Amino acid sequence: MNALSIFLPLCLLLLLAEGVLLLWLALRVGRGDDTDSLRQTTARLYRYATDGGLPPPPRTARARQQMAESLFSLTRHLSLLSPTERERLGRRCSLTYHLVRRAERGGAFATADALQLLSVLPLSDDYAERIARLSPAEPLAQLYRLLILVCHSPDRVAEILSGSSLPAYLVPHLVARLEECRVEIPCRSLFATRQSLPLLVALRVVARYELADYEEEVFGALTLPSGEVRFAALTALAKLGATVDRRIVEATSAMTLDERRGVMRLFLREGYSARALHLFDEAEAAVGSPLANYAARRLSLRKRNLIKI
Amino acid sequence: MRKILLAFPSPIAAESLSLVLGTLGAQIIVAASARAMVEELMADSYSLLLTGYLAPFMCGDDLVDRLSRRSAPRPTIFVISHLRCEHSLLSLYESGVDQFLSFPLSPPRLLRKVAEELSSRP
Repeated sequence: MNALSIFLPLCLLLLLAEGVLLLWLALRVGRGDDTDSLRQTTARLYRYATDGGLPPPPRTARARQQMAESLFSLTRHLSLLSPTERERLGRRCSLTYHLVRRAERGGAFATADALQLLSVLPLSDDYAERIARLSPAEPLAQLYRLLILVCHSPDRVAEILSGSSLPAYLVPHLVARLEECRVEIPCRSLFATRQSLPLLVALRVVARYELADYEEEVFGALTLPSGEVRFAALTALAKLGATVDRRIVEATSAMTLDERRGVMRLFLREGYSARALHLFDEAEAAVGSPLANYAARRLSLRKRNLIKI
Repeated sequence: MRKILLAFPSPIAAESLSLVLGTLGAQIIVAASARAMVEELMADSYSLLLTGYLAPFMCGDDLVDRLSRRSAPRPTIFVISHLRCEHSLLSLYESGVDQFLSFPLSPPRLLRKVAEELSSRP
């Protein structure tokens, strides 16, 4: 009797475990390989681009997600589908509807993912308004929200960026994606806002393309209270090869020792000589800083190292 | 038949490029990783390599040099990436890469470039 009372629950437990295992296997087999189905979806989208035949609307949430991922990746890799074709696909296959819903209702990661996938789909005014109402805390979600809004209304770049916050480290990503989306960035109107994010974007563009026409605007950004903006302005000036004058040295006066060292390295990296940076030396020597003659010492160290090599 | 090796971190990138290049009539082989790409290149003779992997060319491994030292002619190497950093592009060219193309690619332009490259090879 005792043996039966132990044996019976054990058998039931084994049967239950077997059932769970079989169910898991069935689900896994049914799901197939993700990479394969992504490839098939990509091939369907490619045929849509070349032959014009819309792919059938996906029936499941998973198929919809795969189609959105394929579309995102395909758009980033090939100039194949025009905005009109992408808009039509998003509407007919309900991609836009479901991604906007997911961006509104999902958690931090789901929102960021949905906004990223939405960034290649042109939106109607209604959807754009719904995206504008979102205020995600996740930095990447903020980045894609801004990207969507700027791509939707490129003439309102300054206004959109002024009302937003984005960590400074994501500004290069934003500028790179705006370049990919071929959005024209009006640097002069961004400088005119005197707000942190538009200024960081404008300074990044000026530094990247070495737009010497904006040198005075960049010098103007040195007087702003934001440390990130001042550092971005110094980076832009170094890239532009601007002459190091009092304005540049004064902009570094409130910085810490490490930050000032970083600024000097920035100029040295762009090929400035110790003589061109003598104003920094004078300012450092005046406060008895260990950074006095830093440029000269660093350059001679580099020469010694080169001779050794 | 000409052989083209595709190697990209994103399977969709490799798939979309193989769809574009499918019309050329060349044999297209897809390498699943950077290591697989290097192994394929050392084991077989390819006319053209289209890759999104930068590390094998910039890690000091002298991949292009190793390919050049073999008896078979080395493949023409096109690196395709989203990268736009000037220093990295210069490093790529210094390491022996023949051409850098940036995403997103125009399919007709890519086709023309690859067809020209394949026809110019002996």
